[in-house]
Amino acid sequence: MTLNASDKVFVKERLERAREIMLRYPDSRSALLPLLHELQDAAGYVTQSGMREIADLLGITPAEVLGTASFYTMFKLEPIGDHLVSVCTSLSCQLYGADVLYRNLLAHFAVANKKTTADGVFTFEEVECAAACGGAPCLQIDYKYFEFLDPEKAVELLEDVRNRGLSIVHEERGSVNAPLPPLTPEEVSKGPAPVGSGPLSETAREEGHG
Amino acid sequence: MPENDTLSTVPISLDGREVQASPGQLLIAAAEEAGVYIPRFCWHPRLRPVAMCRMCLVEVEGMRGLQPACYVPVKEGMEVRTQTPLVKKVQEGVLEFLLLNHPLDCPVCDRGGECPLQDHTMSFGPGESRFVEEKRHFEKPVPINNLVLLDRERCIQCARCTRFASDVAGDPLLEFASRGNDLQVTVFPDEPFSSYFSGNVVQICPVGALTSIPYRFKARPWDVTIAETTCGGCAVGCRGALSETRNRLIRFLGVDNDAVSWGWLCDKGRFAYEYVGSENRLTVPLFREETAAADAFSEVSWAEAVERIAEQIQEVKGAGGNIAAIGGARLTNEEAYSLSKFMRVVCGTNDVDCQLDDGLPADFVAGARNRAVINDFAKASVIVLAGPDLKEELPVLYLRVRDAVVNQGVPLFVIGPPQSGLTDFAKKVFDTPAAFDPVLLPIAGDVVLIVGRQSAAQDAEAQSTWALGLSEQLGERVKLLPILRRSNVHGAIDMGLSPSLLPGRVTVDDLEARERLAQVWEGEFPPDPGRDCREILDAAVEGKIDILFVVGADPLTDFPDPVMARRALERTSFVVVLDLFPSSATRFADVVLPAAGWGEVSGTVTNLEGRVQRVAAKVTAPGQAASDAQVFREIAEHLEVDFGCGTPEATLREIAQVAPAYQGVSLSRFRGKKGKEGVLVGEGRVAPRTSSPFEKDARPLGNGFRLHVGRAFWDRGTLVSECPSLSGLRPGPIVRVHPEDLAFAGITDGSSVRVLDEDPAGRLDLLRTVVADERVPLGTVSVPHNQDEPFVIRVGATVTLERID
Repeated sequence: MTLNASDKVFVKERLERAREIMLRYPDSRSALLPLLHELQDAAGYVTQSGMREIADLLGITPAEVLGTASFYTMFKLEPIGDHLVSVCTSLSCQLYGADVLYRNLLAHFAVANKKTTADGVFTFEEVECAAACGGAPCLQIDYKYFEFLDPEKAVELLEDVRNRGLSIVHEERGSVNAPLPPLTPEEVSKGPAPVGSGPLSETAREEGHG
Repeated sequence: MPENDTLSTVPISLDGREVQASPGQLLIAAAEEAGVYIPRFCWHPRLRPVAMCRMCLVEVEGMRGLQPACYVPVKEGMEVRTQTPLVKKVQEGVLEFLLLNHPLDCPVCDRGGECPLQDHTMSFGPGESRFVEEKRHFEKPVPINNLVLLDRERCIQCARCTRFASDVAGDPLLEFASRGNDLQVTVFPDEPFSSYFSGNVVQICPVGALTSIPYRFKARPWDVTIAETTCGGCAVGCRGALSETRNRLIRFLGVDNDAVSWGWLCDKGRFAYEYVGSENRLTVPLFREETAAADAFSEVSWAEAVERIAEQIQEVKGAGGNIAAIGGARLTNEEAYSLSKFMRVVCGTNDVDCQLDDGLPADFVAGARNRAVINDFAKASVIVLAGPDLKEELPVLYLRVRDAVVNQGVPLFVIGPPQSGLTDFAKKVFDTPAAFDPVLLPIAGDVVLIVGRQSAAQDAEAQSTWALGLSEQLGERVKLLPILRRSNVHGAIDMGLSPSLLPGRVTVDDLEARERLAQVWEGEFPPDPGRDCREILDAAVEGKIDILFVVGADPLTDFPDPVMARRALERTSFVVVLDLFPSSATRFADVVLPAAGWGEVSGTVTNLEGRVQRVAAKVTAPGQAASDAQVFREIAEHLEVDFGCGTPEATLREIAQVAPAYQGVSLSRFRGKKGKEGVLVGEGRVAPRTSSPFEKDARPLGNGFRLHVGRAFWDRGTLVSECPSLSGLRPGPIVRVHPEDLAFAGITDGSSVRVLDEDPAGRLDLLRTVVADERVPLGTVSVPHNQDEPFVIRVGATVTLERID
């Protein structure tokens, strides 16, 4: 990001855009969420000085801005790395070993949950259901989907992103790029597999999720 | 909270018993009125319900699941069960849940012993927890301002504090941040909860999450004794409970009073009890030795002090000299009455004034007809405020006006200079009274007209004349509320501490009143009005005042011309100062008498509505300090005047006997449910005088700015200065100017300027830091009073700003 923490965010075109956004609502304070998005897009995260600017624009207190911004986990109140890696650990992904996948990722990059790697490239976070249960386990990099992963593939994927950049990698292997083969009529008549019999059942059982 | 206007009640079944309740009333309140307590944490009768804590769940026939009693309105025939096994099981579950993260550090928590969470756990809780995991941790405690600490580990997220901050105080600086397990109350970093009402969140917190710094670790509830009393901080008269331990005042809590304060207090009212126990209190009578150096006082006994003052009075009276008294707004009604009687009966003069030329004409304050009370605000069709900045001067009155305007939708018209609190909610703001056009008022309904002195540089008589003119123009539907600021000043005026008034809202020439007084008062006093404060000081400067009593007042700070006040005190041969603390006036005194004050003297006070309420004595005054009433009585008796008024109770009986507007006021009327709201005094027989109305264009033709001198909530006043927790909070020597005026004058925000009176004879020359403030009207310079050295304020003054580079 080219902005410094102390730079004003809402100036020139961005200020104009902010005013235009405010005009869309009968009560200008309704523009709080869109303005927080503008701020995060511009500064990389929701800065304190930016929240003060929004408070001034909307005629509310900075505490009210903070109260709203901190409610939404996708607003980042701390600086984050170049890429945000969001690993889903909700039910479907967890059944497919997301816990192991995530722990493995953190160990590989020597970083803790919600923290940024030493080189500043990745910030990791665990998220609730990313709505890609059909591609479990999945993760998002800057909200771009990568599905049907396993611990090794995930590490390899992130190393690839670090080396070649997100857009190329996403183009090549993003989203639904490795669907499971369709179910055979036999499998359909058998019904769903019992819990714990999935591809990662061994690990899952070891981890006590069986 | 909206009052329930429904007069009819309907039957509901409460635990199998039929009780009457008002339809629309919340179930939790209806049950409480019927004697059934439903446990709660988040519900507070003066806050909007949110049903967050789930503690008040009850069974309601025909409604699915359990219902939060704080959120369900009463309906006819409703069947409610509050004691069933299911309800009890749920209460246990809710408490177990609320205690999951609660640290249970009760032994080191200020709230311990009076904590709703503790009490509810004992009464409704399961007794043990199944939670074995680690509780969440936060840094504890963190200050949210200079007076309040926040311990997030103890918080149960009831949102009482956040609702108070945003809905009641209008200072939404306290908010919930994050959610789920991380949910926490917070202020914005580097933006403290700078509200004048911050102490209220400590009082309404149902756990020990918010504690006050002045009270922290001072006492346990079982170590204190408590008395209900009336706050003496300003003229609103909020009710509160005063705690004492080992003869020291340690806490003041608001007590709900529907007529006045609703249980709220401002921070000055709440924490200013500290001054009572200050080390700097005057404790012995002091006499200036004639030969000694300027400030050489020697201690004397009370007997000697009384004797020497009595001798002086006798001597001066014998020689036909003049005796006068200024001050008295700090006194109780009984003390003020004693002073009033003393000046008339013993000194034979009407030269008394409890106002220091900084208020309104006393005949207007005492004589206004068709008066409003605070509870009229919410019912009015319009509120017109032509007064000082209520948030700064009469903070809880501000809360009540704000509630009427913001929560009840009553339109507000503000006339005059900056209002830190109410300008933002006004339907329209007028620069000067002359600019206000009553045609703008909606035709139907009552108009509440709140009138006060907006600025020390404003012509008070013009203000009252304008108000009388307006109420005449609008007729019967105008209800007037004249407001003064200082403590019991309304009571003091009612007790006759005004040159033209006698006790009970009658004029000094009122024959009937004089006749009645003659039966009780032995002594002659003139039928003509005496000198007011300015005239007394004027006469003193000319050497025409021989004895001047200065009673709980400091003319060198509060009189608009401190230079003249100083000269007056210097040239008066015998100055007697009765006060709690040494002040700039005591430096010029011949006798300094240590007075007992708030919390030390019992009696009654009268608020700005004319509502008489009781004050309680909770501690004994330090050293030899004594009630002012006792001093005047002793001097009178030394001069062989049968003064009476031996106790506050006897004095009140005498007041009720001789003061027309106070007829029927007696201690018995303060008892019972009705008596909790005090006693409204009756109308007197004062016809307010009128003078020249405002000049059409109040703005002079020169280049100068109109000078506005208003009060700031925190100032250098003695009482605030003597409170360690409060003395550092004042804004300091600043001047507020509209940013456009600043730009035009080429002055930048935050720079230093000289404020000079345009009139060379004006003698105003101040060094101030500029603060740009859009609420200051164009062409006005607003200087908060008493932030720095006192300065000369000329009525109608215009000033220039000079940049200092």
